Amino acid sequence: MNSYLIKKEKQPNPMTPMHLVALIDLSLFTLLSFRSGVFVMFILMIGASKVVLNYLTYIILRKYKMGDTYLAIIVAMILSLGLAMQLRLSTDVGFKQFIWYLTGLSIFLVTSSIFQLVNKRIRSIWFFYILMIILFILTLLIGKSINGAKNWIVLGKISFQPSEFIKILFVFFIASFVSNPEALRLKLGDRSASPKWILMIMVFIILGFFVLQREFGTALLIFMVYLSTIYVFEKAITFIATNAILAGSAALIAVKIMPHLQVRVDSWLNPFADIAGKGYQITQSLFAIGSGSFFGTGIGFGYPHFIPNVETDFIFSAICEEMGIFGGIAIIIMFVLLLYRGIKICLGLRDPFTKSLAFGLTITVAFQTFLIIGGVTKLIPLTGITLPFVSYGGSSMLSSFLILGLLQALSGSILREEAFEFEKIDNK
Amino acid sequence: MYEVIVMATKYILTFIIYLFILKIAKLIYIDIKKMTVWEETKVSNPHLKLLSSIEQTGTNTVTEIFPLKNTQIIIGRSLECEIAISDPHISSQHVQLERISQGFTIKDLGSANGTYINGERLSRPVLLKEDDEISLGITKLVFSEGGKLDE
Repeated sequence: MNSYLIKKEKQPNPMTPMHLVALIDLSLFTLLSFRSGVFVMFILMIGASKVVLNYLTYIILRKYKMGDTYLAIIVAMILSLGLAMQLRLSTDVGFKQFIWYLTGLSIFLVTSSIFQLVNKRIRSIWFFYILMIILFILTLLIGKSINGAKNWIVLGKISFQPSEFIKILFVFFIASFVSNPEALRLKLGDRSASPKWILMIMVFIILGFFVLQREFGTALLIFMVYLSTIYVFEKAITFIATNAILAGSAALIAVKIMPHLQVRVDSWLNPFADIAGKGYQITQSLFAIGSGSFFGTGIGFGYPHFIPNVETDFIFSAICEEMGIFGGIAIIIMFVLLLYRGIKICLGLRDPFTKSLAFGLTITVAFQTFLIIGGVTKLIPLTGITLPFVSYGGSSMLSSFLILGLLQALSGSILREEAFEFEKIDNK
Repeated sequence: MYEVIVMATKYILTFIIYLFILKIAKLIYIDIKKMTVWEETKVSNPHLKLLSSIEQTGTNTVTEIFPLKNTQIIIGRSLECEIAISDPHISSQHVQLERISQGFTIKDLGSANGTYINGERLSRPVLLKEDDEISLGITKLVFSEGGKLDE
């Protein structure tokens, strides 16, 4: 049948967005290299290499038909703004972030290429669960407490946050459940416990571990991903309601018991009451966003260093101050575009495992962005979560690129499947 | 000097970022348009419509359309089937559709819960007519010759 649409017909030129990213990169990094009055070649080199890497990634993705190119392009733009901001904050931090970017990019390319090989083999739900538990126990045993959260493992000069990788394992875990719920069915005599309730117990154990480590942000993120995936893939409204109520009550109790959480809620409700103490961070963030007006104060003319943790959690406020609220909104829109591409990949997949994997990964990035931007703008209480691709942090960058690589691999498999189907039609 | 340049370029930079967003958004539009065209080509050929199992009222919601491209199509729970449906009440290989000169025949492949055509249990291969309702497990599929666009 010749009435089937040929795939490459009438696509908007994907090179235009690429050129725009390159333009932004070059402009931002040139500006930055002149900021201190003297021309700093080093900064321009970073900018130039980023531009080269953007194009290189794009060419590799197109040449080897590795799927949707727009994922990497959107992330490239987000990274442009992110890297530029980090360099503006401090050359030291910015350079480290650039190194993480390079590592992340390689992880991205490697994952998108080799995932198809391991895809069908590793599906066992217990594999993922036990891996998560091992990482948790490892953190509890040899973990270090930084900023009140016992969430870092230090090996010599490198420290990383296992929770960033546990959240990816969790998505695999839920995907494994959704594609094969019967694997969790427990048989006691001739009665069997429904797999859903076993899942609930397992998930709450994981949440418990996060609370033990004081990683409330990631616990919340995991919980949201869990509820959304179960809602989308299974019809179980009572189950979801029960979970939500249980977790909600646990959270309320936790806020009453733990002073640490009480501080977070107080400074969310009225940070100006304790503007120099508990509310300092959030009020400074709000001041910064306000000072940015529409187009920003201009790169280098804001005062981001008044905000504690500005390179990690509050990077969004710094961007809003120097690039204006329009810059901040642009970042939000770009994450929404990422969400859209991710959901599109999810819709194009047939196999329930990869389908819910794509969904879970996309929704993790989306919720994470929502949680941190919401926290920083006093929409919701602040959680210690990072903004993917923008916040400074090795583990954050690497896990974000890992997620991107997995999504890219999955979109590649759709492309291969479609090509296969078209071949079958042509050969009829 | 730096200050002047920054003041001037911040508007330009914002403009470029939004131009970028616009280009990507245009893609979304083209994507959605392409999907509707793809759907139209799917229904102009023989296909099976998967009915949503949520709506039990008169109007039937079509969740998905499976074009019938090959001469032999096996429907079942296993991922090896041409049409894989994750319904636990469907056998790994439940029914087989075969294209013959007069159209499509449907044959039950010895499934555990049986197959029902328009309410009647399928015992031997039957030729499918337009709007025949095939029930496997709790899933309902409607056969269509295609060629006409509904609505």
